[in-house]
Amino acid sequence: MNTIALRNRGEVAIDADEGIAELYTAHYAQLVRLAVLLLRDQATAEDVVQDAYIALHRRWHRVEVERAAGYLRRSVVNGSRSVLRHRAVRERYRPDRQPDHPGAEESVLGRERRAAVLAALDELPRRQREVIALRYYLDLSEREIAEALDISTGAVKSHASRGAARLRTLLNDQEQS
Amino acid sequence: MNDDDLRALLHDAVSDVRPERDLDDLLGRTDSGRSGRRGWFTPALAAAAVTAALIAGIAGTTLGGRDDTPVIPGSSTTPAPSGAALPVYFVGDAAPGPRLYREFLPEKACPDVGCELTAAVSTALAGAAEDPDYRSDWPAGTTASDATYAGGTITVDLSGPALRNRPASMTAAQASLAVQQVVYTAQAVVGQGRLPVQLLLDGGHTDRILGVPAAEPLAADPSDAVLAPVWITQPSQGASVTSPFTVKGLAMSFEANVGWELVQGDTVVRSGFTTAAECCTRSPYSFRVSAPPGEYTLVVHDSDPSGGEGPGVSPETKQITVTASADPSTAPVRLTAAGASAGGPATIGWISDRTLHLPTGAVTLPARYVDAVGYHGGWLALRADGTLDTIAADGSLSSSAPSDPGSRFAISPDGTRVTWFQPGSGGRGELRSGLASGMSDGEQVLTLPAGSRARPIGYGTGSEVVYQLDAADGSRSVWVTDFSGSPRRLTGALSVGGTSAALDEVAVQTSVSDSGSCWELRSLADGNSRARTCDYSLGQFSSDGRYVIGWPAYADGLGPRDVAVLDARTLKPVVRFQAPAGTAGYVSQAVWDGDTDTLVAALYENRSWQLVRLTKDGGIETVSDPIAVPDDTTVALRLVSRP
Repeated sequence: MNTIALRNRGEVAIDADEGIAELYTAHYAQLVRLAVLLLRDQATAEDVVQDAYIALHRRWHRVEVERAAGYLRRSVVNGSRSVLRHRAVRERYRPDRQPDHPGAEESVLGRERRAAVLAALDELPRRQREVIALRYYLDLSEREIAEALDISTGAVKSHASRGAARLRTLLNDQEQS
Repeated sequence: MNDDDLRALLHDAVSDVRPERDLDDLLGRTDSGRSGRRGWFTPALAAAAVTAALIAGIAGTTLGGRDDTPVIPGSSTTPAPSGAALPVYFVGDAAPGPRLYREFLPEKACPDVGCELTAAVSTALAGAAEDPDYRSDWPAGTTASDATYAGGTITVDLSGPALRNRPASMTAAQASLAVQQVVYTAQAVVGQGRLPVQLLLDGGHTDRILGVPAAEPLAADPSDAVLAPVWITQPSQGASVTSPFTVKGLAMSFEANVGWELVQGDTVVRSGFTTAAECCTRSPYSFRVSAPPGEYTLVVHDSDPSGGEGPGVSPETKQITVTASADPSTAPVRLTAAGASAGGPATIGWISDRTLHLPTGAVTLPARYVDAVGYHGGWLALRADGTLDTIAADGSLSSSAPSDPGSRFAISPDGTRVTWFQPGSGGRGELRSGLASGMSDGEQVLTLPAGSRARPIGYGTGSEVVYQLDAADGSRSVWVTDFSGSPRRLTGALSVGGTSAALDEVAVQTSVSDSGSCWELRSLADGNSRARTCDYSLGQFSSDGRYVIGWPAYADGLGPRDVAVLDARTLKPVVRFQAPAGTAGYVSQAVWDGDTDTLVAALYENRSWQLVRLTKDGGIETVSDPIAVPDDTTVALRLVSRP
């Protein structure tokens, strides 16, 4: 449960700013994209990822360096959930989404396809969407997904198979209709 | 489609996402007390930002200020004293054993930090807490005779009877926590992070205090081991609040689950669950409670992952008084389809799966849609992914174009014209208005600023359409156009809930805050405000303009659990419907049933969706059969746009 290990007092610590800079280069863009898969909206996604980094910065001396990437992943998934909880309300009766930021040079076809995939993901139940994003986008193992989401590997298996099946149906459905 | 295809599709779906903020922006935001650019959901995370100072203080990184915003007892009825209050830690019981809780002491007239330290530590030692559940385990008579902060070290001079050795009545754990109580209090008062705290005894150094080694300056023990798993930071003990009120605090709980009850005597009057912002560490939670006036005990607790095998849960309690609201709203009607009798068919259209149900019969559409309006004998219909389809009279798809998933259709009061958003060529979207029937197109077009999207909401008395504009830079504004000349802007309006042709008025959101938002009714003719509320978010007007739909000003969870019919002159509730506590019930949409003053709502409860009619006298009737869904997040019913 408590994967955030406490550092021993007196242990030599990497400076928080330095560590965050390294983690920014290594993971920032990928985490923003993960959050877009979970949230569909880049501005919000980036806020969630920034908040994850800031939370890590704050707890820098309590998180082992080798666990930092996993900590960020977890924070992004949890932060996205928190946003969705608040957003569900606004969107269902009062569409209130910030516009996405499609690249200006994008071809219409590519944009449509991307929008359709994000829309299909959006249709999945939250857990399934999280498992699918971690498995097919981040290529995490079942064990890593279980750890990131705090669920059993059995649950990961079942969410993954149901989620993938539903996603396929949704995408095929869109192609045909 | 195999796994590799899915992998490729997901990577492709976000391949155009380029982070827009750089490392400097990120590191700039880590300075506590200053935040950089934030998104619309800032209210949700503002609490986290406020408590960031506290967490930072405990975790030992940089900290600019004192503990998070103090809550003065009776904060909603008594004016707060000027200046900040002093944080003081006390001992209270939690499932894993005694832990620290915190209160705020109204600020003393202190010339320096030494005086503040002395006052706060003395209060901590004496156990003089507002909350009767809190105490101090220090021997009676212990005081802080002096305290200073200099050279990065806090020094606190204690005096009292026989403090060097641990009294026989005290366990080693109690002694250690007592010392930590002083360390945490002293650090929080200074507000400069995890500074070393040197304890003195009667003005001199000592090797031990209560048997705890104290020759060297002491550090704070990790917060997870010292602080209680659940704190309520608002409302405070003894507070008077008006309903509905917000409860805030910090919790470290299994899967971040936080449960709460509002208790009166032996009766649980309200209860619910919420989730803290993060799992497995102390993080902020908040929720809203509405309750009739009275004296209550508010209980907030963590969840017990062991199902009773482990130490159990750690409840935190506060005695509070709920006073009559300034808005004497009527008691809500239980919003449930259970036991409701079947009513006549609706006069509105609704969609389930691919079927559009109309008063005149059912129509099968070529795909699943979230909204549809009659157009040229066929249909204009919007899919969940934002695709806008034109459907011919025979049900075949005649054209398909990407639009905006959040957009809807605006229909003129007489039902003859429909307005929608259509992305145009070269990134310049258009607002289009066409005749709903007939073969002549009579189409009017308003070209929008590059990169922006529009959401038409409704019509005023004339042919004017009110729309929300989401600009390319993410800003939002509200405009009015009659498709000739330049559109005019409704100043200070952030979004639109509805328009009334009968009144020539518009319901607009004018401010957003952590606890909700404020709305006004404005005249479209002169722009003057006619009524204002911060208790509800406003929706559609009834066709005669007498009533307007009131949604919760703040809601969490799956969707709004309340819906109200408000008097459009006063914005006071005529009737309120509320999903029963402890259920996952919510309303996804509600519209007026034709020209009546009755609502038709899409209600979710118990894994099923059902169309219900809600009358002004509090009656509930079912309008459709229930539609079962596999999970809480599938929406199986959509109400279509109407004038």
